[in-house]
Amino acid sequence: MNIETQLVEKSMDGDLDAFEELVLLFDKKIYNYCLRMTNNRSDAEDLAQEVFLKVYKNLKNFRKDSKFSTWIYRIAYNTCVDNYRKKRLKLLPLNKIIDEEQQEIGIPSSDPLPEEQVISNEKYSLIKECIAQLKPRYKSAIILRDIHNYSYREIAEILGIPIGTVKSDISRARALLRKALESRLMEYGERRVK
Amino acid sequence: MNCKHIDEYISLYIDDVLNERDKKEFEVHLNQCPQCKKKLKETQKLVSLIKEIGEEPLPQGFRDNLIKKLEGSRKMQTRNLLRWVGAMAGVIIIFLSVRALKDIKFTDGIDREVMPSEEIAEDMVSSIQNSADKFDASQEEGVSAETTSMENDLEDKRESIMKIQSDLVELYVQDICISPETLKLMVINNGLELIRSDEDSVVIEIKEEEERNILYKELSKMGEIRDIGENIGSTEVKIIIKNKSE
Repeated sequence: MNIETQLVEKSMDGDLDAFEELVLLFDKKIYNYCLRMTNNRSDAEDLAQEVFLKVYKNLKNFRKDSKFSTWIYRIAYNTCVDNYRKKRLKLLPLNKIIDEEQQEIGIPSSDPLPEEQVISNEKYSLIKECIAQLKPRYKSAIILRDIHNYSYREIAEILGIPIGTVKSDISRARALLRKALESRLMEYGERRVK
Repeated sequence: MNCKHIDEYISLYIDDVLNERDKKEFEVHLNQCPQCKKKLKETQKLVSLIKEIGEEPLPQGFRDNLIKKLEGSRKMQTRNLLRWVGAMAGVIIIFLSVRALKDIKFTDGIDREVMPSEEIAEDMVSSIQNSADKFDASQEEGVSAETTSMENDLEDKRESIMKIQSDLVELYVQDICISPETLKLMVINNGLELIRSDEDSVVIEIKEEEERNILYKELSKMGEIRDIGENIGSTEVKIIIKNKSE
């Protein structure tokens, strides 16, 4: 029995210390998942804490035939979706974000930061913003696949959708991001090489 | 292969999950179509940039705050359990007292038409004592660990003392016909007040404790209730319908 399973079993028997250890195994991952879903550190912190409280209160409902990591990501996904509905975030069209980003960030010629770092900050903040503006299922699939390195099958289990849907979600999400970032994508690449 | 559905091929090609035949077909198409080749390059670049985002460190105090909240939540659960245990004890004693009285009146009526009052009292005391012993035993075993037949008898009574505690409830249903419309109908039928609703939830106003009771009773007919809110005793209760298979 691996350490994760042992901790889950002890936690299910009401051992809070074991649960706290379990938290340490997942808190950074879950926080970062929520962060990419919201692109807001304070929201991500609240959501991640909510996820662990929900997990703790619902441990008795965990079925041991599934993986604990799948279960916890699923709760994280549902928590983020609930939050998204609660806040009724309006989806900004991706093009608009790009325009705003261009105005806000730009690359001032007299910037004291090394050029590479400026470009790096710019490109990542723009990509993060664009990911967060995708619809929840798309961004969740992209985050799990490209940042958390989950397989299509695992993502299907987490999101509770067929594997075929995961494939089309990921390809649609990538196509949307590619179109949104279009001209800048290769630019980032070329500048980086210099 | 045409350019129309190329996005999915591009994505699956990058993740190397295309089967051999599709992969070959895709590569042949790429060699003939500079536009799709450009798309592939851009998508590859995009994916590598996303992968580079990586993880950020946890905010300061994240773990301490969480552990405090978890300990708070455990205390709350213990308090609720104790409250439940107390209420159960009361119900069991009343129930057994009533049964003791019934036994005396009807079962023993043939042999002893009139029973001296001290004997009735003695019988009742021993019956209450008995129930208290049984109760102690079940408490030692963790109360809910074992369902005794006595508890089965009391199922209905127990239900009447359970109620919604917090402001957020998840209702896990197996029946896909249960929708916010079903809940709205229940709200109207029970004289409750609807505040708002959306595609998978309703928010209900709760003015009196009795209404929490009614709400619990009605929801428990529809599915499994998970009382998950933080705000105990709020005047608004949100009910989110969830599919049990999820």
